[in-house]
Amino acid sequence: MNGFPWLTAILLLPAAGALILQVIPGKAADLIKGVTVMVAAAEVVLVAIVVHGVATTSAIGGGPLPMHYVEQASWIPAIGASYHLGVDGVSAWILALNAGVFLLGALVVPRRSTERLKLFCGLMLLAEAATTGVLISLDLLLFYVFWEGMLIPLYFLLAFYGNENRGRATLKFVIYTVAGSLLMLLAILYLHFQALAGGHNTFDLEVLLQNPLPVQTGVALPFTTIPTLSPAMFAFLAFALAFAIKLPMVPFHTWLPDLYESAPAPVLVFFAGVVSKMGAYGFIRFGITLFSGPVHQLQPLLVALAILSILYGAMMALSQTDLKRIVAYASISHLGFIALGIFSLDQNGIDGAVIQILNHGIIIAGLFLVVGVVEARTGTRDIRELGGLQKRMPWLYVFFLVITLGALGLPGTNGFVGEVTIMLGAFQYFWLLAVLAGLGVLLASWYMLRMHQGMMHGPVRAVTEKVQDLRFREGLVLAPLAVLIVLLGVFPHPVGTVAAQAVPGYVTLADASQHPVVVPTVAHVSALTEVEP
Amino acid sequence: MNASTAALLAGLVLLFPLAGSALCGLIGPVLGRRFVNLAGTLSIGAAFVVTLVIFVQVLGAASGHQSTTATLWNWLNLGPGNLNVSVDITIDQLSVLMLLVITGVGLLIHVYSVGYMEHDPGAARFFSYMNFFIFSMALLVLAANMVILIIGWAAVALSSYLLIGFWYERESAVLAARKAFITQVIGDVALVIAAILIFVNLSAVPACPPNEKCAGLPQALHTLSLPQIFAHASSLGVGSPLITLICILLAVGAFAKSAQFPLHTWLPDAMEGPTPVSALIHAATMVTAGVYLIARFHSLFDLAPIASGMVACVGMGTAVMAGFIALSQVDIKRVIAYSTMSQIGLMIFAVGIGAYAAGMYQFLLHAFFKALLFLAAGNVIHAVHDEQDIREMGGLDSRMRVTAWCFLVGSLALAGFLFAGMFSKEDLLGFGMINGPGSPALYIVGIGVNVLTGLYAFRLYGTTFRGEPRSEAARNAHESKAVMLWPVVILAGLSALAGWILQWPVAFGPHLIDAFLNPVFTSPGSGPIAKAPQLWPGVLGFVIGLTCSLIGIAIALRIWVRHDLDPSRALARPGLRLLPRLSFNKLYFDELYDTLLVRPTRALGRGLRRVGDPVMDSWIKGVSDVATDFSSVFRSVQTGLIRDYASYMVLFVVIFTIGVMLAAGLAR
Repeated sequence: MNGFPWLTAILLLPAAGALILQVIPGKAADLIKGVTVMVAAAEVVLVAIVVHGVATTSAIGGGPLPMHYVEQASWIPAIGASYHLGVDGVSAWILALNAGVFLLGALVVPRRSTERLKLFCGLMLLAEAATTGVLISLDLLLFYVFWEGMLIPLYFLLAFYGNENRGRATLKFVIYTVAGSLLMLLAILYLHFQALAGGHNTFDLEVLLQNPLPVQTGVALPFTTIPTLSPAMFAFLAFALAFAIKLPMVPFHTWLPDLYESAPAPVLVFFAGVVSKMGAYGFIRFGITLFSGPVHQLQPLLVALAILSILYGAMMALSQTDLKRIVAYASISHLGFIALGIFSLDQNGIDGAVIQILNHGIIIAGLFLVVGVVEARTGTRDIRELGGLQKRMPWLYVFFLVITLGALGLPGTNGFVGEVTIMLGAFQYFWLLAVLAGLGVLLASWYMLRMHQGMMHGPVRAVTEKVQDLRFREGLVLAPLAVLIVLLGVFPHPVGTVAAQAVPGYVTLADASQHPVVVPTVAHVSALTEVEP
Repeated sequence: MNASTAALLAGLVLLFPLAGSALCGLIGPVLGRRFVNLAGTLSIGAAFVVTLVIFVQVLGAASGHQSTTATLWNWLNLGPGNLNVSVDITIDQLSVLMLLVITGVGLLIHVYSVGYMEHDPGAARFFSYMNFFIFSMALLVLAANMVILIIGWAAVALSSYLLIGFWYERESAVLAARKAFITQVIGDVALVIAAILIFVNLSAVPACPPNEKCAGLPQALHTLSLPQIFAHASSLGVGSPLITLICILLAVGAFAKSAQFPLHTWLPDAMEGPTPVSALIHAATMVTAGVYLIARFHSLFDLAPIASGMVACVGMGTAVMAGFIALSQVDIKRVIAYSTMSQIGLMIFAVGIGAYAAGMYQFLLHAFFKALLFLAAGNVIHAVHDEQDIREMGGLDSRMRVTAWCFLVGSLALAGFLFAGMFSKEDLLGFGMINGPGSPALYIVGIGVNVLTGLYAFRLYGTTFRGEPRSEAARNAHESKAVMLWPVVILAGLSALAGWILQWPVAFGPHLIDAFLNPVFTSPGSGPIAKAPQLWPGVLGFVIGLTCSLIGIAIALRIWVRHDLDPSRALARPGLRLLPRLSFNKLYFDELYDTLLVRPTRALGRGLRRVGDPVMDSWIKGVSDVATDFSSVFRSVQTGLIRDYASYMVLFVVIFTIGVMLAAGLAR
């Protein structure tokens, strides 16, 4: 580590790239794209160094969550906000995903549309800087700045460069995310004041974790427990809403299919691959750690929503005809698995969620790249018009086959690793969850094969009559994804080990029994109500 | 054999087909047909040679269970108490026997495929898939960890899917492939849940250090390593609901792979694939993986009599059902497919009653004669220009003498007279007489299956090869070329002789496979296995079984060769009128599943699409109706004016600043 501020470097590099773009004349499209790709590649190298460091060195800090590459500086002393960065086994591979998927996104930026290319690439780079910031911030206010900061460039990218339906889609997206974000800000302030009351003027996650919120268990009734409505509960709900929207979990998902349908390909790859993972990451790092009491009380509801996402997403994917919408709902179903793993609050489950975050990012980026290629060739995304592409595009078929198998979680691909670990974790919470998740796996093979075979097999159709196979450059983008899907399926050890390094700390924090507990009993409550009148 | 030798040899068995698959698939199309033929067959040949080396090593070792386990690499380590899986392989008598069939019969079928696929432009792809199948199957039988076994299990399903849908421009092939794959996924999920149940519940009393008193409380092992599971299987409870549930889930996995009721409907459709695929995957090897699975997990099934009894009943039930359906199918490959289903039902019955070695014996001999029947059928299909309807054939025995004789050998072996099936089927039915649920009730049903087998086997032979040609194509049929005949002849030789050799000198009672495999099933940790019948009951059973087979054959010959017996009048009776229709329509299982499962799921999806999202969207409609100003701004955004999007930037910044100031102000 040598004292070099690696995390500041990976944070600033994309932002610096965005600045450099501003001095390049707007007509030099090749140069603009070249610089963007170079910056993205350099970022991948830096992140690789950081991930390697996390895997090979031991974490520092005696806090509940040991971190690597920690940087700490004062930021707004008056309110105790600090510039506190760090990375651990949970965020390391998500950082890698972020950098890797962004590089692919940069590679597929079409050079032909020179119009406003500079703005496009600049906004993309800013978005990457913001997502990087989200992943490495250990100060809640800093985290919030990046969380909001991530939305601004994405919003412009969607509003300017989306297709004809972008108006409605962007509106939905903004209403959802603003609603979520504002409530989260209030919750952050609540946490700050709680700490202040305890004598800590801080937004720092590590300090907040060492002074946990008072926990109230629910009102115990026979067969069930009623969650108590404490301020901590409201604060958790605010965080949960922001994260659940971003993840997204059903029923907060309706912005996603519309948005994915209208987003341009590079933005879509980055959005689906990385941005949607931020909700899952937020749940792990902030949701279950800061709010262990409310999480435990709401655990049945949270896992139910996760299962709902899995099954609802799957059923919707089964009934769509637009390729992008199929993939969008498939994505919701897969993200439901990640949520299920997190809310099992079991070490296998959370390990599985971290592994699945990485793996799903790879798979979904691949799916959208394939859809992009097919749409560009045939001019349609309607599965009813497609068919016979295997004959015309044998190389695309090979890559798409691997990606499809990853998406349906075939054992031996990376999709299986996360799913089976998550099912194991969910089973230990409640056996039925694993069975329902298994139903999701079954439906996944149905809707993925329906899509894959619908596009690839059958007789050649009118729109697929004259299409050309992948160009070398396109193959170069898809090949690493296909290779990773197989490689991480037969050798997931590096990912699992790094995740397993950090996850026990999160499981301990999420275990509410560690904290002081106030238990209102039924008698207690009835006594209160008797006094009231 | 030490662990490193085992790792090396097993690694080679896995590597050769995998390399062959990669070579054929990636550079095969460039280097041309000759390269593909060579790479595709030599890779399997090399794997077969390595398997022979392993076989000799196992055979040469001391008696007893020769199990060697080796770790190739760590798959996933999530820390103590959590999921820890390494890529382990195990070599013992059971996996060697499987490997011999997989690579040996596989090699013959690959050689045959050189001829069969000669004119197909996708031959490189074909050999790539076929090699990948051999790799998957080898991985499945070598796996010594449940996760790795599941990976092999799924890889087998994948290669089956790819090969069923090989002619992907045919809609029917595409749908058949999808159906096969999804049925397999049902099995996969069942296996995964079984694995989870084992992982959570398997426990052992930790070893006690010397000179210390230990509490002796069992501790959870949290492992999926197969040797560990088998060693501590009794910790799951003997006959407990838990182990019964685990075994039922394992059995569901086995049923999906082995096309047993109620997960059998994919196998007949799988005949959409090229005929060598049917021979290799849907007769000789893949579909018997379920038998292997139960035999491999015998330590668990020994402890779960209810689950074992269910397995035996399902096996025998499928044997009857498939035999009944096979009676009236008209597609030559489908008849053989149903006969496969029926024969595997018998194997499943055998492993269900604990006669594991008898089940594997039937597996071995069935692999020979069923591959033979399929390859011979492939020659027929080639000769009559891709016609598969037996009503359009007939009289082929004089036109394709070698194929006809080989097919006759195969039919006799299948029906259980003189050749292979006589030994294995009577052997396992002998076990059925005195073991298993409701014995001898299921045994009597099994005798009935013998009659059915003789009937449909010789209906097929008679209709296809005897009588007068019933179409122009059949009239002009001619014998296939050498590369497609030799594998058939070799398999005919094996079908005819293997039983006699393994059973020498008597046709019933203990055989060499018994002696070879029984150490596996009686190794420490296994429960009691089925008892063999005494000598005279055994002889009696053998005679009864043989008689029933001959009755079946004789009736078939009278109906379909000599035509002096016409069953149509008998079947027109009111009580029996329904039978032919049920048989012809495969007992309406496809229609039933379509009505009960597929259509409702699709309808639910469509319904949700119409209702779900709009309802969940409604609150946002409310918001946007109120904020009409909002939306007008958004419309203007699309004009791309700087001030419009600047205003949004400002909005965010303002919200954020207010928040910070609020925080700062309140903090003071």
